[in-house]
Amino acid sequence: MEAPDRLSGRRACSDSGSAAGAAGPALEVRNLVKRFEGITAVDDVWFAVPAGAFMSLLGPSGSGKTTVLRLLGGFELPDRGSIMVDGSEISRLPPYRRDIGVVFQRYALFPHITVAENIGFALKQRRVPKPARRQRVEEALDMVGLPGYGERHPGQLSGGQQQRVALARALVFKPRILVMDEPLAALDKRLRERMQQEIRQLQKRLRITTVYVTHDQTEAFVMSDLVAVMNHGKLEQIGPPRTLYEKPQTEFVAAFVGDSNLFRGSIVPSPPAEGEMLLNDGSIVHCPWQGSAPESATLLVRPEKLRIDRAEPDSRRFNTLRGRVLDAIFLGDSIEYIVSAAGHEVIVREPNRAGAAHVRPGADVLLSWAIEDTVVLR
Amino acid sequence: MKRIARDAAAVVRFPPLRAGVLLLLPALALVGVLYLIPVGRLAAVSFGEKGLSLAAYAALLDQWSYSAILLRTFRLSALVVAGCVILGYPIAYVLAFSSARRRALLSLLVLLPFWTSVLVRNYAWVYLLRKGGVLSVAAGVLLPGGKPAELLYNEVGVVIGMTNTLLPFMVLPIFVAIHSQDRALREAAGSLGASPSRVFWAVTLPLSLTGVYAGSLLVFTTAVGFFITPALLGGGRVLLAATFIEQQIQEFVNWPLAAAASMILLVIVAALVAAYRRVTAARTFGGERVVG
Repeated sequence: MEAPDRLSGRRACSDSGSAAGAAGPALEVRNLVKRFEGITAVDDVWFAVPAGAFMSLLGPSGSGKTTVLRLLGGFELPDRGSIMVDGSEISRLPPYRRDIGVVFQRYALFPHITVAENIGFALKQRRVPKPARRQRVEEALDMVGLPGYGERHPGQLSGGQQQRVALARALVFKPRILVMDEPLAALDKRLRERMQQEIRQLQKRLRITTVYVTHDQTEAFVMSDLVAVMNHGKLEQIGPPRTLYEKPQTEFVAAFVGDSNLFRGSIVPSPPAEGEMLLNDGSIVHCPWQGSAPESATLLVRPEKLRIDRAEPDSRRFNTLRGRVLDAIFLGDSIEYIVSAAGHEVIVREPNRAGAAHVRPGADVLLSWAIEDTVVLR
Repeated sequence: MKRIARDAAAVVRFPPLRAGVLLLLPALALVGVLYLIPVGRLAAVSFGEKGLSLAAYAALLDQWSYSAILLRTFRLSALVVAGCVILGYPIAYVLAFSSARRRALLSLLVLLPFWTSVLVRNYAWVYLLRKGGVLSVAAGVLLPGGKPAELLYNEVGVVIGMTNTLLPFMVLPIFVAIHSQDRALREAAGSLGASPSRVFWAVTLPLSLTGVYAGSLLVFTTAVGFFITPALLGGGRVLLAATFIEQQIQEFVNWPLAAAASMILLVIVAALVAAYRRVTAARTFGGERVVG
């Protein structure tokens, strides 16, 4: 069975060329299916993560991202499909034979033993002799910025400290893959942002292939080489953050990643590599288009790509719609306008700088955007 | 959603102390009238009916026939605790990892002794344990010698009967201790390279010890006061503290001796409760209870 192109591993690899070396994928998931009592939690998921890359699984709750992670960790077995780590199949192995480090959502530190014993747990299972174990535990504590905390019990640490211990515990045995399940969800915003940076720095330094589950789009963008967006058990799209933002392929991705203005209508091909789209209200806009037959479609224009103009711009490069300002919201760094145009309430985000249009609600305006900033969704 | 629920739970506070005390008043009154006053009276009697005397305690500790009864009571109770741990832990473990439906069925079986009349239960054991009975013959085949084993009207029968009766007191606390453990702890241990048996010894078992302690305390304190089972399955040959106390009152009208024996039981049980509290307090790490 061949994967649809947008989900294929090859595509994912080429998209993330900057993230890692030329080696093959460290982690490859094919045709993964998991059902729970008739509900398909993971539905034919394919992706590949190059060695050393950081991939986020991003999606709303119930989208199946945590189930994918549990399949990677071996806590659930898939109904179908394969999971390859460095080319070898692991999807049917029990967790303790997988060599995958897992950071759990609520840390799952063992409360009855010390921090050092928690971190040394994996080394003990691997029969690392005690002196070497002690040294590696100390190195791991240094690595996460908690030197000297070894003799405490997990209950004596703050949430952020427990998070670091969980990270040290998952990394100390040099696993082949690191997977993390919303590890920062329980932390306050400021600490979360700091931990995002720290985890990312550490991951880059260790060059460990990482799969990171989150429902927070900003977090996924800040940290990842690759983001895989999931919805209803399916992988909607995988790519570097910029690709997901600029070239989303589905409405779901467009809406989940950033704010979006969507226009519905039908496209008529008008060569070369361009189409004319008749919007449902009758206005006509141009868009990048390579199809050959007329097709109904949805157009996406991000709020910051839109401009409020006084004069009509060059129609060969820009699309233009007439509209009326319904509301203007001052956000500090930008001003957000809600404009009624083409039968939609369109969001326009103007940077707050000299020369920017400052218009009041009720004003009639021209909305324009570059043709290449128009994204065709199907 | 889960987080919201947890936050909501954190917001629920206990009512202010004064209201709490008011709510406790009826129970406090009951305990005071029906328990504290009689126990105080008993303590007074143990020091002699006229004046202050330690004669009853001296007799209990001096005369071997008396102290042997107390020692036998503690020894058999400890054996019952051991039997309940050995039989009860696996049951609790299976319960904790069963589906809800199977758990309901199994709990029913565990709780069955509770709902059976004491006499019916004990005579059932008499039938099973009597010489030439099923268990006696089976034990004879398994043990060296080949003769049917003596299981009834001795300490063996008493321990078997008491273990049967008290098993639920052991199973339930251990079940709770295992069942309340976060599944992620076992998964984490597995991901770190621990095989299922290592996960049990390194994580599940140590975290369930609070349940074992609680169950042991319940079983021991109850076993120390057992009356009917030792009488029926011991056949009058296994004299335990409760029977002894009853005899002293009913047959010999020796109230001080009976009271002194009761006080010794009470003090030892209280000491065990204190020890239990200390052990479980040491197992709350940094203010975070391990077992809820």
